[in-house]
Amino acid sequence: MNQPLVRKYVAEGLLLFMGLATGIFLFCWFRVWIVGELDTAQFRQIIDLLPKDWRKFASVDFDWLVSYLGRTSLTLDEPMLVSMVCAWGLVRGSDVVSGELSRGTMEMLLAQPVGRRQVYWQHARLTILFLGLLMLVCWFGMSMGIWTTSVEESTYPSIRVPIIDYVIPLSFLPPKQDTIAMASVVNPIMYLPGLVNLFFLAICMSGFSAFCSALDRYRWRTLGIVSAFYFANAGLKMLGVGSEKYAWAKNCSLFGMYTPAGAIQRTQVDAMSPFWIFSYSPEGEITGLGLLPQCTLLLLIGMGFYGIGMRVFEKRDLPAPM
Amino acid sequence: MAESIVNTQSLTKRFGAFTALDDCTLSIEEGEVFGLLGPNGAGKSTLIRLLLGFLNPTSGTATIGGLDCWQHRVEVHRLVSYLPGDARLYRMMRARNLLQLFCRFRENSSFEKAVEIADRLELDLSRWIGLMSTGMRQKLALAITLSNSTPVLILDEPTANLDPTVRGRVMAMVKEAKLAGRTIIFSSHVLPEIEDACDRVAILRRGQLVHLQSMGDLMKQHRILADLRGELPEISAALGKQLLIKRDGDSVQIETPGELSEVLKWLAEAPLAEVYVQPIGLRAIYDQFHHETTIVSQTEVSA
Repeated sequence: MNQPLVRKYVAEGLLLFMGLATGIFLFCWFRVWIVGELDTAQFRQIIDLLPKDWRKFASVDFDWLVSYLGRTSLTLDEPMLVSMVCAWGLVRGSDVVSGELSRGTMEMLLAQPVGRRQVYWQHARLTILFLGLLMLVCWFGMSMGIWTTSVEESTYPSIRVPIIDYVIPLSFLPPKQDTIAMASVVNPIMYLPGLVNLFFLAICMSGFSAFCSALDRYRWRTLGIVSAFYFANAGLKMLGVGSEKYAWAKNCSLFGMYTPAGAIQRTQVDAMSPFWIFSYSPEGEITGLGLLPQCTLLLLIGMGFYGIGMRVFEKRDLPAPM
Repeated sequence: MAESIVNTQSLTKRFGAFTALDDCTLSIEEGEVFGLLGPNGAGKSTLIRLLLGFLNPTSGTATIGGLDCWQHRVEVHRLVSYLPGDARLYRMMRARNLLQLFCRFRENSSFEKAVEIADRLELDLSRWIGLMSTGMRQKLALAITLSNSTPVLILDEPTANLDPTVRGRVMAMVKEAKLAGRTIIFSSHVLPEIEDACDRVAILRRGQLVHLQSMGDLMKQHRILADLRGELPEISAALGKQLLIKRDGDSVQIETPGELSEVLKWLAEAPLAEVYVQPIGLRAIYDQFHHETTIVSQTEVSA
């Protein structure tokens, strides 16, 4: 590990990291808090009012969404959160070659006894390491939301029949409101599969960004290309989900391999489900890839982009600063 | 005779149909200060960038210390310290932090020495680089480049953007580096600086190495300017071959490649007035290749 390079890259990325970490932490916390503000019974009424067609837009069962875990898990599906996490990968990835070339600082850096391979991989390692830290921040933000939020639960009075220990709800009586801590119904560790999925999606995006950076000499152009790539992938997934005719489009999108809420739901049912090859519907039909192959594919694609980018960077001419 | 430390053999770099450097063969000896001269686009920077392994040669080879500049560029960079023509530095850092950063990259680099150089160049190290002028950034880059003890220094226009006082200090540092036995490749548009510092000069034109000039030989060359009040006396064939004589009406210009005594004896018999003898200087050599109108042709002298 080259200590000066590490210092340089940390210094360059620190401000962006702090900004994104703050944004992600607050977003996750507030998102969970908002879930706590809405009573489960009220939410079920809203869900029941939604047209049946809308169910296909949800990555998970609507019935599961009624639970606090289901609703808070959708935080990981929020475009704002996904964009903030991927922004780190896209922005930092785009900096490694075309960023230095645009600023004209590549000459001074590579005139030192530092190899291009070292520069490139050191940058990639730190980008991924800080991505991991953002995942921790994300988890911590959601956990804070759970630990600090109390929820109102409507329960009907009931009577317990002694000896047979049978509880009879008295639904003809008005329901009573109980305040309970959200932490008593949601375990933050359950978000882990979704966070892992997001982590590998962001690695894939940063790999693509680094690859584009290695090819280019203008950072603004690299950022334009990678942003277009990101939104094209998001658009393909929306198209695939929204239209049965274009269902294939979902499989053409990297976001097709990003199903955090589904992974959390499956893990709640079976703790071993993250290691399944496929995911299944309650009826036992295959609905897509499991978490492990999804993450493996995202990692392979990301590392593939990183590898090709490295090759390009090693072989390319470095233009003089303009 | 000292060994060559920098060698290029038929080094060529093309960008599509444009040839930036064409078939350049040269060798630079250890401890030599080697100048690169040529107008913008002549190929100086391309040559330097090939030596630093920033560019992959289209054909030919470049080596420093016996190491191929493209294949073994990291090892080459351990031998070379480089000052870019337009030094761009990290704008979000303070000058002192940048010096520390770059000194950490090299084992043979000294932060104390870098600070000392910065002091000699009157540079305020507490400043943010983003708030520095071009000249201040140039000084900072010089402090980075000169703070180590690599055997080879490549300086691309080291005095550009500097005021005359600091220019003098930089040239003094270049001479100190030469005295320390370092090999220096020095690219500049300022001819007096090249004359002052270099042992040898390569002149490039449109990507080609068109002339190699030893400064020692150049110092022996003189130009004699005079008004001619008659005909020049007869000249021996041997001397006539050496001289470059140009007549323009009543004035005559004679260029000699070396020893003056024979020429002065011959001129003593000539009907001359207003005689000036001056060293030819690098300007005349440079102009031969870059200003076609000033190329002088050898004139037959009749008795």
